[in-house]
Amino acid sequence: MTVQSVDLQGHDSRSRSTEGVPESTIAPAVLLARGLEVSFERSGRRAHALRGVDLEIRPGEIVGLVGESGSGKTVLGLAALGLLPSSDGVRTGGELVVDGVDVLHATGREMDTLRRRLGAVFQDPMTSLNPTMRIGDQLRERTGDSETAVDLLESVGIPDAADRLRHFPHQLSGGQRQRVMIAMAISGSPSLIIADEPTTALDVTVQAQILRLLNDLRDRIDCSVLFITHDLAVASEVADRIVVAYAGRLVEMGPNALTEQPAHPYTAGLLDSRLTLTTPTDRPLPTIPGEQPDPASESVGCSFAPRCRSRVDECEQEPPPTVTATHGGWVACVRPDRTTSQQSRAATWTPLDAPSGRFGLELVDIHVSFTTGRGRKKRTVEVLRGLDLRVAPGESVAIVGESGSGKSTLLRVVAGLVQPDRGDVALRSGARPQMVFQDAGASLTPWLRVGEQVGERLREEGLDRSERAAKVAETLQLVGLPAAVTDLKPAQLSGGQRQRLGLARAIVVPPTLLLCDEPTSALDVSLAAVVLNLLGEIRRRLGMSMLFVTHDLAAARIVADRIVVVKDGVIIEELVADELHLTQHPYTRTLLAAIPGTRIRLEPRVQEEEL
Amino acid sequence: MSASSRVPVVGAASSRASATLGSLSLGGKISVLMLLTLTLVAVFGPALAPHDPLERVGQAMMPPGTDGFLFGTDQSGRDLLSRTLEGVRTTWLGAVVVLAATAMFGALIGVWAGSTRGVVDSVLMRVTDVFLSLPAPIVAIAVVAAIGSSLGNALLAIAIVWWPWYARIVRNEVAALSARPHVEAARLAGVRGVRLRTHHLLPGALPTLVVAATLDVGALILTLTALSFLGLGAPDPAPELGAMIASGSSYVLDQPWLVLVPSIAITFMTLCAGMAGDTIGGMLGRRQ
Amino acid sequence: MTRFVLGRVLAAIGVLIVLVVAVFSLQRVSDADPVRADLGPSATEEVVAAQRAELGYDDPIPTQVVRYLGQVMQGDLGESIRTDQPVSDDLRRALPATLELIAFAMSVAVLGGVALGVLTTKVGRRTGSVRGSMTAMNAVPPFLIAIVGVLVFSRTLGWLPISGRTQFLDAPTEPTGFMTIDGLLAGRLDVAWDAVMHMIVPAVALSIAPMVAIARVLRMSLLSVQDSDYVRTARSKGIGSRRVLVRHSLRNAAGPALSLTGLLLAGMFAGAVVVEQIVAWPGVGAYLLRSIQSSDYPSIAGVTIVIGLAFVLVNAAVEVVQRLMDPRMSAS
Repeated sequence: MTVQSVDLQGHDSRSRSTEGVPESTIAPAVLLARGLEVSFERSGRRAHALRGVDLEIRPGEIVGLVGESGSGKTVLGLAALGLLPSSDGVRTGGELVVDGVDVLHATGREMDTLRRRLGAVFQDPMTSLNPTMRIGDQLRERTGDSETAVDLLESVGIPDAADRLRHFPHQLSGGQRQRVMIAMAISGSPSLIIADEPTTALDVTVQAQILRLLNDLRDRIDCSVLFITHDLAVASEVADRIVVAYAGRLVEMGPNALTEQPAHPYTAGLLDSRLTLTTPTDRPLPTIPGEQPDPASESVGCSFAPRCRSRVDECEQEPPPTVTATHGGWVACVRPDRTTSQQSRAATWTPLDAPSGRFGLELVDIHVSFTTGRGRKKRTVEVLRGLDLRVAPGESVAIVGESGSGKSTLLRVVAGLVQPDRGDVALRSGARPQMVFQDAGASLTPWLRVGEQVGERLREEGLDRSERAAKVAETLQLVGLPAAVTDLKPAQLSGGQRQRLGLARAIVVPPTLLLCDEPTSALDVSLAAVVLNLLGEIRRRLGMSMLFVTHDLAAARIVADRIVVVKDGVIIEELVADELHLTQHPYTRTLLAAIPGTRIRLEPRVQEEEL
Repeated sequence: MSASSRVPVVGAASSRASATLGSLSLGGKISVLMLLTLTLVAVFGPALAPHDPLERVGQAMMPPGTDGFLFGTDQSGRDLLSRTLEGVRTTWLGAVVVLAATAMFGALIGVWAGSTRGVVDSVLMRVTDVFLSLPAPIVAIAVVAAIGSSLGNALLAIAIVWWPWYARIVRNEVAALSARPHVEAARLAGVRGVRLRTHHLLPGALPTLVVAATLDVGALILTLTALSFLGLGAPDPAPELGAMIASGSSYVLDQPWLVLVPSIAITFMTLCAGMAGDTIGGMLGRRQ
Repeated sequence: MTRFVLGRVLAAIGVLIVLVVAVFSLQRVSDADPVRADLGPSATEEVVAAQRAELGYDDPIPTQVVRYLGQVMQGDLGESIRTDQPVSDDLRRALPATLELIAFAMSVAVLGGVALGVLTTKVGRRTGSVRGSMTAMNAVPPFLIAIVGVLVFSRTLGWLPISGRTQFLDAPTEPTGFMTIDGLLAGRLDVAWDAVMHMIVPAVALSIAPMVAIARVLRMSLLSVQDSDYVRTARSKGIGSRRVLVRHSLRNAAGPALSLTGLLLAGMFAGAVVVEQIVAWPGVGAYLLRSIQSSDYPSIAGVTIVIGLAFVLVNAAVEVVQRLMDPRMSAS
């Protein structure tokens, strides 16, 4: 088991990183982690979530902890709150002191007292509040009295606060629920707030508001914040300092400007994989090769080495040293700042012939409404209100909207899963449209073998067993999966592999139209880039049109020829993807402005290389 | 396009291997052993019984151990061991048969209702609601009292009141599964009708059904016992455990073995079933 | 909310109507000829036939069904062939004893079950031994517990009375028929205490299996609730683990255990039938046994209807309580 080497250089880099941090550096750290280790027992093996983490958070600063799944970022947050599960064979090591309390060895009562000086905001506002208790009661548990509760609600921007106390969580929207969580977190002027992906589940415009709120609050009540997120851009919107985590270790730390000058190859890779409004659309996205390491593995060298394009032999033989980085912070790398751009110098896509011929898909005046409730509480919600859409053969169209816009329903109408109340759906004859789902794992039947599921559609084609097996193997290869997965069940594959599987199933009998329902929203940034590239390649190879639903305008721009913006069940704008930034429509401009990280400078580094 | 040549297997090997006996916990092994013993006793026991369960073979009310009567004799001088073995067979095999039949029937109805929805679902669920609103044992008693006492009728009556419980369980599971994305995906892939139900819905409901059914065996045995206790099973002198308890209950203070022996036999059967249910539940729980 | 309660009541009535009709049909199916049984074997065919016509047994079936329904709704359950008394009178004597026993047993089961469920949850999820011992407890049938209880506590140790309901010949039976309550109301603490003593063995015997079932279900829901996001939020507020348990976990986990309680009642009735014999409890079980032995179908029908009614009412009440507890349904 390797331990992050913190030696004299550790001291140096800490004092260096005070650049850009508020003045109050004399007071003791609010959070201090030294060699923190956390591991769980899973299926008889020991999975390491944190492998020796050193971190210090000073009073009044916002630290952004950035990592993908498996980085251990959530575990760190839970550990600080003392909320690690007490079963599951949890083992801890090292030191973790929060606001003066040794969290790893404190009693339950000591932890309760500590938690009253801390605040917590978690990811999913839908499930983070007790559904059977009124908001007021839940707030009062923290504040003690109603007056404070009302004040808090008002300070986080909830109107009619006094009335709201009597409401139940299900009567509030997602954004409002998250504000309530924040209100609870800031009550009692905590010294540290731990926010674990507080905005990930929210619409992009709501996310922007919440981030503004957090910034505002920090100024007003002078607390520290540990802001955990997978999105570097979001972190850069709020954090004074950013720390990057990978596979249970911290690989880089620096001031906010780190995002312009990443020192560690992984950070650089994350930045490159990000979808921005200036990412070139004429070629595959840069990606980080390979996959996350197995949490149970115990490697000697740098955990990122197997995937690193700048690696040398040294990297895999010994743990990387911690050195000072150009941006003033530190980085754990043998060859920092020399990141040859991790961008694969991929060739551009072969340009397609312009879409021609008869329409591929035509929707005319589509109306869809759903009724909920029974009897007196019956309510009809109009989800789609007179929508027209045309997709040419071979064209890729992105449908962009926030939640409630009706975009997913539109997709299901095209798929034939939902019947419109009014309107026509005309599809070019050919194989029925197929869909790639957002949650690939959930779209696969858990108890059936992979090969059987992928080959399901082949049954109608009149092929015999061996022909089906051959076709399945061929399709799996097309999406980059080894043939060996055929006999496995979906649960035995990784998240990325399941996503490829979803695609394989959709294209085993190539449809003329491929429907994608937010296929990358739930994925890590690096994985999302891989999937988008795969979609691009497959689409071009098989000549399919594509309808791609997303809430992310940047992704839409990369994937589509044309972008259609939907709000409240109607189309409000149609644009050519390349002209997205020229839009004048107020709603689209709001969506654009809300994209986090517009502060990051946007020159793609491949241009620098070419100079 | 990057592809990994190795397949990282998430979690321990969950292939068929894990389902083999070797991976069972100690409790699991014990329950399998007990189940095996019980089945052997049920099938072969009566053949090995030392005496005819219906014949008077000794003095009445002899305590266990006297004169080679392992469990003693009852108030008519019949060998309690032989009677108990016969009773165990009747009860256990009867319970297993009824359970299997009602579970299968209930599952069919449940899958049909849960996946079809609409009118079919409403009608079927109303029917099961009515059945479930009434106390099953009491209704079974009323049914047998009306159609006549015999072992077959008792089992039939129990089956009639028992299946709705499984239908409801399966229907709820299937209805929940129907809303899941993998069913949508299957539909898109062109899977329809019977295949959709048998491949994409039913297997998901089976674990819950199996667990519920195995944990239910105990209740079923007790209901059967209650029926035969009331004289609603095979008529005297048939060696049914419940009837034996009934006739022996007046002697509980001075000749307690008359009621203790059949009661302990029933306990053993219920225990076997319960432990088997727990083991199966644990295995299925770990798989998912 | 009122709408829901109304709906439940209507559904209950519907179910009961079905029950009564079913019982009626069963009566027809059975060989019992109530008129013949009433007049005795020596009466001639003509007399029997005449009596049948007069009593309405020759009317078309639907008419008979409706008439029967009407009678039942007025509380007339017919006349017992065996005792020659109205069935409702017989039951008025026998039923309260069983109800009191079951009420006592269910209370013990619920209290014990909740305590057991909460305690075993603290132990953690992985312990197979918890599951194992609960299964073992569940497997022992109530009558075996009663037998052992009588043998050990009554016969051998003499701590508890051996059988029956009370030792007092003048125990009050008004107004409720529940000896404990009536005793207290009449100021006879000795009677009330004695009644409790007599109930201990049979009630505990009946309560074990439901107690374990409730504990098991509660444990499962508690474990799953404790993993939920809102419990994590509650814990993060630093309000103390006991408070989290009661206000957050239990509140949301109680649902399945509550519905189970209603269903367990059916099994308890079946168990009571046997247990009452063991301890010579003068309840419905004994009455039912004798009715079956003498093929007294009107009594059997009466018992079925009354117990069915009790069961339906309790379950409807449970559903209403559950509804009250879940604001997602009743609010807005």
